Amino acid sequence: MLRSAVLLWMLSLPFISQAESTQLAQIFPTSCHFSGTFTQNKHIEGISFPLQSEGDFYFSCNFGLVWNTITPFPEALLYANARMNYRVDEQGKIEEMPSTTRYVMSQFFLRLLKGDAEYFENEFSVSALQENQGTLLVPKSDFMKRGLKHIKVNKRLLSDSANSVQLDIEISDATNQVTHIVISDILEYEIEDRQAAVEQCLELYPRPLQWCRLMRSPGYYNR
Amino acid sequence: MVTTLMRLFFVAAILLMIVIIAAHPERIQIDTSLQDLNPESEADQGVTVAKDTLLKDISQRFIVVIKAEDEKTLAQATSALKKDYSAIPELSLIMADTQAQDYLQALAPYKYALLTSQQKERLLNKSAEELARQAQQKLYQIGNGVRLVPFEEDPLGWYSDFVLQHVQDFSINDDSQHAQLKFNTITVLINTPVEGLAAQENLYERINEVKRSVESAYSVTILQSGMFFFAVDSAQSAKGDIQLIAIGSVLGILVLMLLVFRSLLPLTLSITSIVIGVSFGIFVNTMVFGGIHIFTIVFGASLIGIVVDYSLHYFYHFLVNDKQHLSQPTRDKSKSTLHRAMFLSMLTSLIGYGALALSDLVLLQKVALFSCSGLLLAWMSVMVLGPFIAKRPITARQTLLMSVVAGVRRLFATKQIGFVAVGLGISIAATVWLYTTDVDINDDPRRFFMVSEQLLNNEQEVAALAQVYEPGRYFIVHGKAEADVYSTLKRFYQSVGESRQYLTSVLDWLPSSEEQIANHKLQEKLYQEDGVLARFYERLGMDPRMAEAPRNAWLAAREKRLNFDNLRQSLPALPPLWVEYNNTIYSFVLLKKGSDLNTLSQASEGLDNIEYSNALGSAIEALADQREKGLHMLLLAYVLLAVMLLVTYRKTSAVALLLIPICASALAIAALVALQQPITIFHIMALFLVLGLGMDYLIFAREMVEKADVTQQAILLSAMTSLLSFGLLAFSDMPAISAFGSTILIGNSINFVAAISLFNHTKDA
Repeated sequence: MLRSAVLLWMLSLPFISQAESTQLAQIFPTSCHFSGTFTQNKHIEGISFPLQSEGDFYFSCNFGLVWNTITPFPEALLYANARMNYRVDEQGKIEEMPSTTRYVMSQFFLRLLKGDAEYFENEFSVSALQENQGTLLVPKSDFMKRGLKHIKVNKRLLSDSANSVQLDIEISDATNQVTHIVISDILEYEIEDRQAAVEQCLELYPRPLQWCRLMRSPGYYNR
Repeated sequence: MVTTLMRLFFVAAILLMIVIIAAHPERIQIDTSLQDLNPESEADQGVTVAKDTLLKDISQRFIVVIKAEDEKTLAQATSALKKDYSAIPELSLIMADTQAQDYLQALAPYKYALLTSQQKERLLNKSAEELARQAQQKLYQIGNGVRLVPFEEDPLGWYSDFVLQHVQDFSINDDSQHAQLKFNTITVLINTPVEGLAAQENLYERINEVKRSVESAYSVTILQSGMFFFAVDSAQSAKGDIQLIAIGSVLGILVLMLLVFRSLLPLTLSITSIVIGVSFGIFVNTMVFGGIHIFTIVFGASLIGIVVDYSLHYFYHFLVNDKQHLSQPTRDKSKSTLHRAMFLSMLTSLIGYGALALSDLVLLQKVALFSCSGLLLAWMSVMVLGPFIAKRPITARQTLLMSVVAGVRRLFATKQIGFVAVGLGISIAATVWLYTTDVDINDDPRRFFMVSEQLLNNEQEVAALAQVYEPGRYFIVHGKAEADVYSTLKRFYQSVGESRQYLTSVLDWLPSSEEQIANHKLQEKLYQEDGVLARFYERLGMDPRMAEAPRNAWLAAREKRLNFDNLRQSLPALPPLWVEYNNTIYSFVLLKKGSDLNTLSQASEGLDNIEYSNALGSAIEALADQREKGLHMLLLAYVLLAVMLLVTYRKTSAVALLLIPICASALAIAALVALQQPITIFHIMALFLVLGLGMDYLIFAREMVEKADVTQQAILLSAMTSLLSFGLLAFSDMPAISAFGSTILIGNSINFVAAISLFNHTKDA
């Protein structure tokens, strides 16, 4: 009996791993280059109402991420690469992003948009939420657990449009702050190289010009 | 009268040694500090105290890096390692990822005295309404939403921002690597200094046992790096040398004595004099230096070969008298000659070893004290106990020794003038060659040791993965008041510009008291009635009266100041960056690996009250200086001995005896240079021994020339024991010890050949 149980357990190992990959594949975007809109609801312990913001974004694996908040406070985050990240305030003033923001973005958010399965398999316990409510990601390392409790991601097909999807992301951190981001109106692009990614950026964000220029040549800001 | 005094002194010294060692056996500690090889001395006592404080801290911490294939294994292995390390009472652990939290907790009670430079600028230049709006806007941001402190404790998020800006030195910068490379870092503190080699080895073994068990249980790689491992590694290597030299020397002497005298009596005196000499050397060193350094024992183990000479010469003298049945007056004269020869021999050895004390190198000072005190008491033991042994007839098997002596003489002494001419000629040629050739000199103390490859590789790998500071390279800022030190630090940071990211000083951890007072005052804008916080709550649609509690807390914190010592108590990972001594403050600026040391050093040059300290560079310079000084001291020792020879023999020709150790020294160094051995201070210091030992043989050969055959046998035996000891040193794995041994091995062999060949049947050389 015991021998059979061990055998079964051993046989189940590859299936668990495969199940994690399948689960992750379900939440990852189908393209590496896309734009869309977002709604963010943040619940902070001590504030009895949610803090809601809205905006749009553009992401390309070859280029980076433009995260443009429109309401209630205009602000853009320009994420060129792991080291070069900037915040643009409502007056258009550009400043380097604090390291913590950079950390949160690089460690998790960008990898999710990029569909970095290996990272999530290694760093998180991946499981399915009940009743098709999406995927639960719980950090494995003590280090990450100090800042992050868990992430729930759910990719849903919208009923009003055949191919339209919506990505629901819920991030719970160690101070019980819950950030719920809904990504919708996703448009995928056929982009072959970095130049094409820059051109797409310029098309989406023609003004101010600095945003895409900065993304193209991060050294531009430092000069 | 002199004999009685000597006996009294001898007995008193032995009794004192036995009483003190019996009462305080714990005082006999084997010290393994590597600092004894650093001759750097500071004119400013405060700088020395500050540097010693930093050095002590560095020597009591090590870094452990755990590398794994995946995150899960890494977490399990780290947890197991933490648990096993925690079971070792001498150790405390600091995890890289808990340091930010510790810092946060340490600063929390003082949060109203803390502001970043951007926050100060904003308080000075922005209106309360604008600041309230910015704080509200920040709540909506995606990344900045991750707070270190819950909203209720830090609603504006300013304290959280202060901490985040200052924790760059912790793990946040390395986290992108953290995810990919799968490693964890633990800083381990050794709670109290581990005294003594045995205790160090014991701790070393327990640490390694934990490493081995976790590595095998989880298939991870564990790298350990720190001064502690280097000290224990070199001590273990030295311990092997001590065993080799001590066992080799004692066995060699046992065999020789038994073969020659075929009696246990002479052997007993020889062994007694060795035991007394070495024990007294250890005792005096412990009393003066508070312990015995492991390298002192290694060098000192070679003392066995010299100490035994006194008993050899003593027995050979009585052997002669016994056989020749001399009349009483002749015996008395002969005994007086022996005493004179033994005294001169001891004196020359004391001068040779004593000259080592003139070096600024603590290690050589210890060797000098160990050897001189040991030699003196060993000599006394022979002079005091010898007569009791010599009452019985002593016989010796002389045939073999005579044939060896005859063989040497046939080789070198058949044509003495030719031998002298050739010897002098080769020596002059060697000296000229040494002057004209580009001799490889090494003053780098790192190359004096034999460090295991694995330890060096670990060190490099850990340096690449973890945040470590440049070893032995830093800046020291000094000033009378805290404000002066902070002002110098700020000017230095400004002058280095972007490179400030490579620096760590108090400036990165804590504002000055003055600044903390100013910060508290500036925060009035945040907490006053209708201030930023009240407006912030109002903008959020919350009750502005919620700002009252933080306002009261701010008011209550008016007098609260945090100083570096208190911060360090909460954050033991912090190095001692702040040292106060004699009304002066010394503050360190540590340099992270990868810093452009030249640029940083140049940036400090135009500034007052800041100095760049390069411990390795200074040590190399100081050792080079010591090497040169050593040569001058050697010259002085030759002059002193020339005076002594002139006073003793009242003949200028007696000074010519010194030509023998001079030639031996020149030939020894030339031979080692030819063998491509880089010349170090240890070669130069060994030349003092070549002089001392050479004079030892020559004085006996010259004094006892009337019984040349027997004296030469004694010299042969004496040379064999010395060469055995120093020969064993020459084969040590430690380059420093090997340099010392090989110089004496070659130099003393030449001394021996000259003593045998040149003092045959004539009274004068």
